[in-house]
Amino acid sequence: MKLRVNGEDHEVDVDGDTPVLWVLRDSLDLTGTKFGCGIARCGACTVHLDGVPVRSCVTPVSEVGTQEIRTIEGLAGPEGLHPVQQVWVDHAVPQCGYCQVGQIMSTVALLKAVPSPTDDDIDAALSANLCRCGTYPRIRAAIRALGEP
Amino acid sequence: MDPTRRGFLAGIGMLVVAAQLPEAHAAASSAPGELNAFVAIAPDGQVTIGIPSSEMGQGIITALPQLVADELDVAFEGIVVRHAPVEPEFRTQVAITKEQLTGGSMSVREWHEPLRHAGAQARLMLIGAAAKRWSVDPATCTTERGVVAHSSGKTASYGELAAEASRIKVSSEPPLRRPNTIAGTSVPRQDLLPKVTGEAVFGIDVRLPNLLRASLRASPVFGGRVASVDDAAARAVKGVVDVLVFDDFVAVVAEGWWQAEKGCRALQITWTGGDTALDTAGIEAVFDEALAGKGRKGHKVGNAEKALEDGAIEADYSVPYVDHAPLEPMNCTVHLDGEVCRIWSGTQVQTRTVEAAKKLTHREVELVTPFLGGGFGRRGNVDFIEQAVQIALQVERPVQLIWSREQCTQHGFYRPGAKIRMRGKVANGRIEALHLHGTSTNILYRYLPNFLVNLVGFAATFPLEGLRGKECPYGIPNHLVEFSNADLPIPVGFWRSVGHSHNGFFLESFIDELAHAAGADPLEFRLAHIEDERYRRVLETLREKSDFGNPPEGRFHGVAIMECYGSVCAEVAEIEMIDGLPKVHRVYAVVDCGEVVNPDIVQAQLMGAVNFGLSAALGERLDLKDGAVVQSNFHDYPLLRMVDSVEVLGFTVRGPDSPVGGIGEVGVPPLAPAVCNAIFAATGKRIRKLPILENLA
Repeated sequence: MKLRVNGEDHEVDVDGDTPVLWVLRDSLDLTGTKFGCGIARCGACTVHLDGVPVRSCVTPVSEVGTQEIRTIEGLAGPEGLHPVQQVWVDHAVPQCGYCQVGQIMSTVALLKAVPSPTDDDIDAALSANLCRCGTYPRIRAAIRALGEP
Repeated sequence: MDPTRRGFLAGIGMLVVAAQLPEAHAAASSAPGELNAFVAIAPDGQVTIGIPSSEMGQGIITALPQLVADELDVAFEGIVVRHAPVEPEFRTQVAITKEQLTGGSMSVREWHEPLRHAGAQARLMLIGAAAKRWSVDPATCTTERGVVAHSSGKTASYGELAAEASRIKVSSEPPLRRPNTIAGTSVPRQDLLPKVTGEAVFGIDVRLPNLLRASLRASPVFGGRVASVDDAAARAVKGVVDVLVFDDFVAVVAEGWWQAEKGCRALQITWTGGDTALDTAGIEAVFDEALAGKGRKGHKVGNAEKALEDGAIEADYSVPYVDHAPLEPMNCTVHLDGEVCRIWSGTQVQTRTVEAAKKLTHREVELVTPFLGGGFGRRGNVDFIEQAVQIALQVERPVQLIWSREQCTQHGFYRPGAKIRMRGKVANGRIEALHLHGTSTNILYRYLPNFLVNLVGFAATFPLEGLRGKECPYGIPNHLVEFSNADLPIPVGFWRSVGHSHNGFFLESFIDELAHAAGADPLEFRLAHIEDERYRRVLETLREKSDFGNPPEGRFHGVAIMECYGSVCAEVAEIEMIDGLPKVHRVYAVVDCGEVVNPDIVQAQLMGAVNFGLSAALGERLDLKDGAVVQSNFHDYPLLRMVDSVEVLGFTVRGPDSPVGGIGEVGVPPLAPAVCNAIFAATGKRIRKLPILENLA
C-alpha cells in the first residue's frame, strides 16, 4: 500500500492491521517516533495525520488512506529547527529524552489550535504524554514562552 | 553522517555523540592522539572525551566532559563524547567487585577527580611537547583554549602537538588548577539537539542490516517454567520466522516487531512451578511475621526498649512494591559476528553485560551503549540481555529483542514493598526514645552471596539505609533500629534512591508525628535535634526560602529532610486540599551536593526527582495475585501526568566541608513525607500507607 510520510510517497508491504508506529519504525526506519506502551496511554508514538495528533501505536495503517503522516523527522525545515524544537533546546527540556518527540508533536498540534495556551489548555493537551523523568514543568515553561505574544 | 548535517550541528555548537552510529565503537577506539584513557586529540584539533557513565537523563554526558575540559583548557563546543565505551580504566570499586556501572548517584562523585586529573595530565603533556619542540622550560608555557603559548610569542595548537604529546610522561595525578570556567557553569546540555530532532539513538532505535526482531512471553509467576507450547497460530502470523522455547520464556522472532508481538499474542503456553499462591495479603503476612521476631540491629544507642516500656506513640507504616517504568521498554540488540558477539543496549552495567554475554556465547564481546530512555536502576539488571543473547544463539541473523510494556511491568526488579513498626516518646519538647523495626526483602541477596550479606552488618541491614548511625541526623538518647528480612520470591532491585525511598517516608513522617505530639513546629523540632552543620544549613535555608509555616491562604506546608549518596536534601511541599484530594502546588527543595558541576542540570534533577517521587507517592502500587503481578500497563499502573505535576523551586547550598555528593536521587526521599506531612497539617489525617490516593479516594 502507498503511504505519504513527511511529503514523500512510500510503498509498504504490511498487513492492514499493522499500527502506523511499527510501519514507521520497522518498514521505513523512521525511528524518531517511539514505542512506550502500545495502548495509547503514554503518547510517545504521537504523529500527525493531516495535522491532527494521533497515537500511532493504535492506528492501523489501513486507516490512513490518503492522509499525510507527519513525524518528527518532517518537523524541522531547511532553515533549521521548528520553533517548538528550538524552545525545547532553549529551556533545556529533555532529560533522557525518550518521551520528548511525542511531547513536541503534541505541542505543535496544540499551538496550531491554541496559539496562546493557558495552563489548563496545556494540562488538557499534554496530559496524554507521559514523562518518567519529570520534565513537565520545563515543558510547560517552554510552551508558555512560545505562546506569549 | 552527511557533510551538510555536520555543518548544521557545528553551527549550533552541539557535540556529536559517537554512539549515534552502530559501528561507532570500532571507529572511536582507534582515535588518533590518545593522550590517556579519557582524552584524545586529533591533528585537526578535534577533542574526543571518553566518559565511563551511561546517560539516562541525569546529564552526565555534559557534566563529566565539563570536568575534563575545565582542566584541559579547550573550548567546550565541538567536543566529541565517547559514550560509555567499555574500558578497563572506566571501572570503579562497587562492594566486592571492580566494574563499570552507573548508579548510586556516583558518576560525579567517583569520577570528578579522575576526570580532572585526566584533563590536567593531557594539558601538561601538550605543554611538555611544545616545550620540547621549542627547547624551553615547560614552566614558561601557558595555555589558552586549545593553544600552547610561550612568552617569546611562539604558539602551537593542541592538534599540532597531540601526536608528540602522547609520548611525554606526566604524572597521572598532577596538581589541579580548578579554573571552573567550564565546570561550575551551566553549559548547555550536549544531547538536546538529537533529542528534539528524533535523531538520538536509543537502544530500541539501533538498526543493522538484515535485522530480525523478537518479542517474548516470560512466566507470569516468579520462578515458573514453560510446561507446554502450542505455537501453530504464532507461526502462521505473516513475517514470523521462528518460535523459540526456553526454560522460562518463549520468544517469537519475526521480520518486524509488531509481527513478533502478534505471534506472542497467538501463543498458547502452559506454565508450571513458582509460588502460584502468593498474593498481596500473603506478602503482608510475611511482613507481619518478620516484625513479630527480633531483628538484626542497624543502630543502637542507649536503651529504647526500656525507655518505651511505659507507653509510646506507635505506628506501622508501609509502602507497596513499585516499578521503575522507564519509558523505553527493555531491549537488546545482538549480532553474533564470527568470533565476536556484538551487543547494543542502553545498560547501566557494562561489565555485567559483557560478562553475561561472554558466559553464554564463549566469544569476545563488544558492547555499544546508546542513550537510555530512562534507567532509574532497572537497566542495572542483565535479564533482558541474557534473553537476547540466548535468542541470537538460535538464529542466523542479528536480532533485536524488545519487551512489551506488559512484560516490563510484570517482570521488573521492583522497589521492594516495605513495612516498619515505629515507637517513640517525647518529653519536654525532645525525642526521648525511638525504636524502629523494619522489614522488606533485602535487595543485596540478589547481587551478593548470601553468606556475605549475612556476615556484614551493614549489608544485612542494607534496607535500613538512611536510618542508621550517621545516616540519621537526629540526636536521640535511646535509639534502636533493627531489620528483619522478608523472604519472598518477588524480584527486587535498585529503584531511584533505593532504601531511602521508603525510609525517608517512614522516618520523616514519624518525626512529624512526634513533633506534633510535642506541640512543636515541625521544622524547628528537627533543628532542635540536629547538630550537623550541613543539615542545619539546608533546613535553615529551606525555612527562609519557603517561608515555612506561612503558606498562602488555603494552602498548607509539610517538611522533610534526608541524606542520600553524599548529599543532603530537604523539601517543603505546599499543598491545597481540593474535594478531599491533595493538589501539590509547589515544592521547595534545598540541596547540599558539594561541588555543582552544572547548576542548570542540578535544578533539572531536583525538578525531575521531585516529580518522580510525587508519581510514586500519589498513585503507584503493584499487587500480586496467584503468584503474578496484577498490573500490566499505564492504564492500571498510573504514572504522574502533566496535570498533576509540580513546580519545583530548587536551591543549592554548600558548606565549607561539604563532600562532593550525588544529585540524581536525593530529591526523591523527602517528597512523599513532605506531602503527607502537609496533608496532616491540612486535614489532621495521617497517611501511613502509600500510595496517597488509596487513603483518600
